[in-house]
Amino acid sequence: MSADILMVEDNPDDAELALRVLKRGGNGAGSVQLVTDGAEALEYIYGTLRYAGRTVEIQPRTIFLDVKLPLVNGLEVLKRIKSDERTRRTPVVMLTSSNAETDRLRAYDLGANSYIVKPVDFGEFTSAMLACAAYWLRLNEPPGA
Amino acid sequence: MVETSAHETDLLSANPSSESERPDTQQRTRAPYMTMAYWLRFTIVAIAYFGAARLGLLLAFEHGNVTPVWPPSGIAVAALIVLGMRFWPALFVAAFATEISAGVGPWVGLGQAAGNTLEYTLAAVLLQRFDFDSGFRRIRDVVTLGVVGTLSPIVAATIGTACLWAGGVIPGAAVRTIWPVYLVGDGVGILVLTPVLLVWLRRGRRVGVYPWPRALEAASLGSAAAILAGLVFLRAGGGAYPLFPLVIWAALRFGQRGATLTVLLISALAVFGTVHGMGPFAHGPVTGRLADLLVYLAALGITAPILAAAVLAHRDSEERVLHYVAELEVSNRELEAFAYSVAHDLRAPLRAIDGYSAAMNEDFAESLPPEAQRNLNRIASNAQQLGRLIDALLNFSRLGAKKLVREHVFPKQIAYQVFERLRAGARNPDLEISISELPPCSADPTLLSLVYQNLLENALKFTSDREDVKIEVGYLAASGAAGATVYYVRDNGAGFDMQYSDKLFGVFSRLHSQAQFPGTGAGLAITKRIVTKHGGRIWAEATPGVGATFFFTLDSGF
Repeated sequence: MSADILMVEDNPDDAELALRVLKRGGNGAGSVQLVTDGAEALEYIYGTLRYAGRTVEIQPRTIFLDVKLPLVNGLEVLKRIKSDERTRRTPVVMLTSSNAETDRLRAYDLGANSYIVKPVDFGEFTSAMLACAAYWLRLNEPPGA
Repeated sequence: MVETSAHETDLLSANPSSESERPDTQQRTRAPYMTMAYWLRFTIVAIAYFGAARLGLLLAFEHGNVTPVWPPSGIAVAALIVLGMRFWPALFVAAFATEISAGVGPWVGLGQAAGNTLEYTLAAVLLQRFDFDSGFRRIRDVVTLGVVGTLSPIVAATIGTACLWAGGVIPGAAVRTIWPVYLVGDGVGILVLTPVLLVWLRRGRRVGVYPWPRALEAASLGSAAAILAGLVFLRAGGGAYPLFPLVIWAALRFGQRGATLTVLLISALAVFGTVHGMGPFAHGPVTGRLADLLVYLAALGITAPILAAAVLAHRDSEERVLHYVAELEVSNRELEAFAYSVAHDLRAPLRAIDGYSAAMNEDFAESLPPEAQRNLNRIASNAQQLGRLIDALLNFSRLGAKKLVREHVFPKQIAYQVFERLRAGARNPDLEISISELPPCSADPTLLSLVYQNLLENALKFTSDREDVKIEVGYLAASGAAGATVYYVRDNGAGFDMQYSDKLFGVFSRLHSQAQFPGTGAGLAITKRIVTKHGGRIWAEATPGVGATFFFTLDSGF
């Protein structure tokens, strides 16, 4: 089994607020699996070590990936996902605090499906998270469909 | 392991910067005298001096040991500078041996050797005293050598001639002819030979192998110099000027090494030819010929290194500029990295403050008294404002690094598009403004649209409490030959007191309170930065309660 959304977020406050928004958003925001660093994200995705029971055949509908992460940074995780035959079609949404052009271009070069700058304003943050979840879970047709 | 590294550190700290500063002298002067290396060098210097002196003496006059060409003086000064002052005894011994071999008595020989050694030591001391760089990288180094090479031989000429006279080697009547020959011989030796030896024996800069086109050019230069100098000095008559272009070629293209070597080659052939009665200076008595030749060689010997030094100085300053540019790029990248981490690391906690305030208001709305709710909202709105300030500051600083991409643009279109976009989010979506036929110009379209966005946003903001909003986007035609088109945005809003107009364009400086008109205070600072980047100017005129006009130009009008 896999969650609908894999959220890779190291900041516990950001993670909690995002989960709160998605949970309260209701309307089929889906289940969220939270991992807190790049290494754990890769273990989850490929079903290794801490997630040894998981199969790589079933991937989340979308991955919300922070850029700045401990251990393995977000762009590195993105690169691994997009260069692996088994996972390269999984939609990856970069969710980050910084809008540095170098990160943005690099993310798109590596095959990111979307790049979203998390707003500081909580109202805007809420609508961004909900819109993003709604788009990728309900509007978008996943590769495996 | 630990001991070794501590030992290495000690060695390094005991000898700071000796490699970089004066690798030629200081490091060696610290070494003890009683080493094999010292005596080996001592012997080499003495033999070189003696050999060069014997060569010079081949041209000596009938009066024993005074010769108009005295190459050992060049070798001696170079040896003291390259190897260190402590090699003066080698020079003294060799000079004494030379005089004895030329057939003067021991006392006269001692006197002459002392005079010569004094001359060389004085020259070397003076050179180091005047911060002389043996690479001749500056014109002043060449001039210093020229002055020292002209003055210090006075010592040797005076002492030496006096000794010869006192020892009965020359008659009193000959003193007046011998003294200048002594002087000029030593001087030209220093002027022609010392630079060659210094630039070729200099450590640190390796000779390196030229790529073939350059090797070919060097070979052409060398053979041209040899052939032309041969044609000029190994035949009867002719003029000596054709050699100057070759020396200039050498100096411009091959630096001090090429310049000094070419001068040496020409000098050798010139001396040989003139002494054997050939070339442009081969007329009259031998003293007169050599005097003419030596003046010529001194001119050549000064011109070439000065030219090469000028080229080097130019190249050095270019390198320095490139170095500064590289440093600036590094510091720009560091600033960008700083801005990046500011953006990332300051935003996250603000989002948490705003987010948890909102969460608290949502979850506990019923149990919170109105005062607590209000305070929570205050916390949240301040966090949001701080977020906007950070974004504004980032935008402002990013603008500094952005490159201007000028295009032929139509300001009217740009202003119109900006206004359409602003109106969509404005309080009054039916608002109309007047945009006149703005003349096209050369500007960065993205940045110009940011200018209009900031000015129109301001106009909309400061007219937001008015019923009859009038906003006008227009221009004043360029006046005069040097005038630039002045674009303006005028509103009938709140305006401001002109006495504060100098604070208008500062970052985060505002003339209105947040309660009156909210904002970050970055908009006009950004606008000014854009206008200045275009080479233009921005200023404003206003009356409180009546309105404001912002004028700007996009180039200096030339």
